[in-house]
Amino acid sequence: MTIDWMHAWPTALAAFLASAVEFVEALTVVLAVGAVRGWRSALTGTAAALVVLLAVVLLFGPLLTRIPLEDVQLVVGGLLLLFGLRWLRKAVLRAAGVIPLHDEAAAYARETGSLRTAGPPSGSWDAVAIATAFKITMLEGLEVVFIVVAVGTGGVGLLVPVAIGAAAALLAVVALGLVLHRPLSMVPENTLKFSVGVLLAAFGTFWVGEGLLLAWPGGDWSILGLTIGYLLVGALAVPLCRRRASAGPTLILR
Amino acid sequence: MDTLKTILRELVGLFVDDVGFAAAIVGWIILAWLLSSLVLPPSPWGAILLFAGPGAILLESTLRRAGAPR
Repeated sequence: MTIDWMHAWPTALAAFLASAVEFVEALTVVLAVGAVRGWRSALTGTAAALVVLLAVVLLFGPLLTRIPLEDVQLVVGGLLLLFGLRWLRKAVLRAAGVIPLHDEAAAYARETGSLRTAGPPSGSWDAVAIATAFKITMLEGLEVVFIVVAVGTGGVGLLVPVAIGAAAALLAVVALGLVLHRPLSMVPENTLKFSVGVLLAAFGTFWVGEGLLLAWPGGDWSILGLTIGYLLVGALAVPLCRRRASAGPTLILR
Repeated sequence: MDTLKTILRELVGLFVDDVGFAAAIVGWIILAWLLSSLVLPPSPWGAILLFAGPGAILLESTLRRAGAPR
């Protein structure tokens, strides 16, 4: 099967960036488990979760391809729009200083502290460590699976490039984790979340429109227009929110 | 069981942070679906309206949150 990269690269890029954010968050906790409770348990929990996630992809991916494309685009596009706008909203509020930024170093310190107080393993298997690594890999991995399945099934022939984008993000984060052996706190996580929110909201809106059989001006090029549109709305919202937050709570008159 | 509950909560949390925000987006999609299938003739305006709704909802929701007491 040949891949039309001219059309596929924006979706592969969106999957790469979105997955990278999730893998960075998972890496922080897996590193904490490995450093405090040992690498065997950390890697066992992570591997077990990856096997479950792979099974979910193998089960739901082919099932979705059997549903008519317009129906998939409407439902998956709607979910992608909710998901992308949720990320964009949070990134705007963080950039404006309304809610605190996500701090990987602080998350690492919190996790290592909690793992140290959990007590020693009772047998040859460290259940606490395995469960912690399994849980974080499952939670962050489920988001990656959703992104891959949603972005990949929204158009014909997109699943493979999107999966390649997510796999490349996994390899990049694991490689950085192996080299640095500490949380990737230098990754500009909020900027990434803002960009991914913009991209996913644009794809979600486009696919909802395709599902509704709307006529997009310029066809596929509308995705670029939607991306610029959401980027402008997000960029406009940040200073407005900052000004509003610094002015204090709104007085509600009853 | 606790892990399963956490996973389910996280699954819903993938799409819903602020219930009003999520409900407004879903409501807009339903409205766009009704308008496009029952009222509006096929034209690029339908697509432009589809973008304008979520854009306005995002702006309103972030501004409302920024003005809320912390």
